[in-house]
Amino acid sequence: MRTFVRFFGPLAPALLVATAARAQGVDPPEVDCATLPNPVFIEAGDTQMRMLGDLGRALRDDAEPMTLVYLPRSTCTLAENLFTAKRTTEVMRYAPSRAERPEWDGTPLQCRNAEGGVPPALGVGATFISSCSETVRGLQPPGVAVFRGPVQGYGFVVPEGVLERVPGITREEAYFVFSGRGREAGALPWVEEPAPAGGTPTVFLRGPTTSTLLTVAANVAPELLPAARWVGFRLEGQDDRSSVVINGVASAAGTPLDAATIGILGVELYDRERDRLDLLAYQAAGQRYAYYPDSAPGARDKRNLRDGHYVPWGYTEYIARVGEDGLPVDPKVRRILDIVRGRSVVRLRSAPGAAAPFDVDALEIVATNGLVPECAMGVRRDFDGGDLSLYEPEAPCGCFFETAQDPTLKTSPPPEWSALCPACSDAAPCAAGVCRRGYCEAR
Amino acid sequence: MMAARRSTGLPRRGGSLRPAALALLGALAIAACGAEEPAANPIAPVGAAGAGGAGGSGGAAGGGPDCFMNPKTHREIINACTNAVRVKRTPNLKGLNADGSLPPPP
Repeated sequence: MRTFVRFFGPLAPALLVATAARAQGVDPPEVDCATLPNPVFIEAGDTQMRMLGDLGRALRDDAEPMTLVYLPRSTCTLAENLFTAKRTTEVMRYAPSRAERPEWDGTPLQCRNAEGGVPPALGVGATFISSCSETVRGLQPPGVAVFRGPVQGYGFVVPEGVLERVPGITREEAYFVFSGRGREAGALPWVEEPAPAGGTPTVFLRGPTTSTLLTVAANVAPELLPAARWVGFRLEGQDDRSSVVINGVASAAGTPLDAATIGILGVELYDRERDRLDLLAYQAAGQRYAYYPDSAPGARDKRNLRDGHYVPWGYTEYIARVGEDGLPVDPKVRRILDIVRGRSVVRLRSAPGAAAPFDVDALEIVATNGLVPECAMGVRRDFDGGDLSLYEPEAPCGCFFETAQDPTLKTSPPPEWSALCPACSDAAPCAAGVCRRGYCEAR
Repeated sequence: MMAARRSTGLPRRGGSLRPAALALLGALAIAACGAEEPAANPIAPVGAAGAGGAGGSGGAAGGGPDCFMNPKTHREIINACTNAVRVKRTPNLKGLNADGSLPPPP
C-alpha cells in the first residue's frame, strides 16, 4: 500500500478506488472447485481471463458440460508450474451456468481449492514459452508438450483522446522511452520521469515474466533492451496485473501528463477499454510507416496484425501432459485445444430443453475476445520478435473472423466486402474456394 | 467501412493548464507528431477467396519502393502495399548513431 501511494502520488486515491471497486465485484468463494461439474484446472496469462470466462460460460451449459476452473498467472511462472507439476493452491475462478446466473456481466465466481491444491491440467501462456528464461525452458519434461493457440497482439496504450495529437510511436522512440531516456532523446511527448519516487508514473509496465513485456520487448530492440531492463512503474508478483496499466494510463486523461503517459497492454484488453484508452500505431524496425493492429483506429478487424503490417504479437501457447501419440491425455484439454485452434468447426449447443437454448461456433468466442485464430492469419513466425513469413492456413477462416468482429457484415455487408467474402450454404455453393462457416474461403 | 480518423491538432482540455504543460503542448505542435493516411479503397480480408493484391503505389522516386505489391520476405511483408490507415512518423530524436541505428544502452 505504501509503495502504491508513493509511486502514484496524487493519482493514488483514484486508482485505489478503481482497483477496489473492481475487486468488490468478485464474490467470495462459496463452493469447492472439485464439486463443479467436470472441472478442468487451468493457469493462464491474465490477458486470457475474459476468453476463458466466456468459453467457460458456454461449456457450463453445453450438452456435454464442462467447467473451466482457472486463475491468472504470468506466462513464465505458469510454464514453470506446468513443467514441474506444481499444485495450484489459491482460490480459483469459474463462469456461472445460466441456471446460477441467468444474466451475467462477465465477472467470474470464485471457488475454494482443495487442501494441498490441485495440479493444473492446462497452462495457457499468452506468448511464446520460448521467451521464458533458459531455466524455465529447461524444466520441460518429456510427456509435457506445448501447442500453438490463437494469436495475441500487444501494443502501446495512451489515455483516451491522446491519439488525436500523437497517432503513433516508432521502434526508436519506444527504445528511448522504455529505457528511461525519453527526455534525453527528445522523444516527445514521452519526456517525463517514468516512475518518480513520490510522484506520478508516466510509464506503466508489466514484469519480465509476463507475456505483455516479453512480446513487446522482443519487437522493439531485444538485444539492446531485453525485457528485464525496461524502465517504468509496475507492481510485483500477483499484484502485477494489466488492470494496473489500464487504470494508471486511463487516469491521466485530461491531466497535464496525459500526452506524456504511456503503457503496454494486450490488444484484446485494449479492445474492452476503448472508451478509456487509445492504442498507438507502431512502426517496427525496417518499416516505412506505423500501423494499428486494425485497418483503422475505429475498426476491430485485426487486419494489419493478420497480414503482417502490425508486428508486436505472439501465439498463445497451451501446455499439457501428452501421451505417446503426442496428444493431450486429458480429453477435456483436448476438447479445449480443438476449440481454440479452430482447425475444424466445433459447435457448442445447449442441452435439450434448456431454458435459454444456444448453438454457437466455439471459435466465435475466441474471435470476439480479440484473439486471432491461426486460420485467420496470413503470416507466421517462429519466436517472439522473429521475422514474419507468409502463411496459408489449411482451412482459412478470415471471412468468418471479420463477421465475428463486426456482426453487421452478416446482415448488411458492403458490396465490396461481399464480393471478397461471398456468403454460401449447401443450397448456394461457392463459385470459387470452399464454403466454410457460411463464407467462401480461399480453400 | 470505418472512416479513418484525421489529426485535428491539439484539443483544448477543460480547466487551466500549468505553464510547463502549455509549453509541452506547444512543443507537440512543433514536433513531427505524425499524420494518418486514410484508407481509400475496400480492403481484402486476409485469405478471402476473392482477394487479390491490395492497391497502392508501387515504386517511388529515391529510397526504394514505397510499398511491395507481392511481398515475399519479412521486409516486404511489413511494407506491403495496403489500403489500411498508415501513420507517417518522423521523430527528431537525439542520440541515434550516424546511420540512424540505436545506440547501446548506458
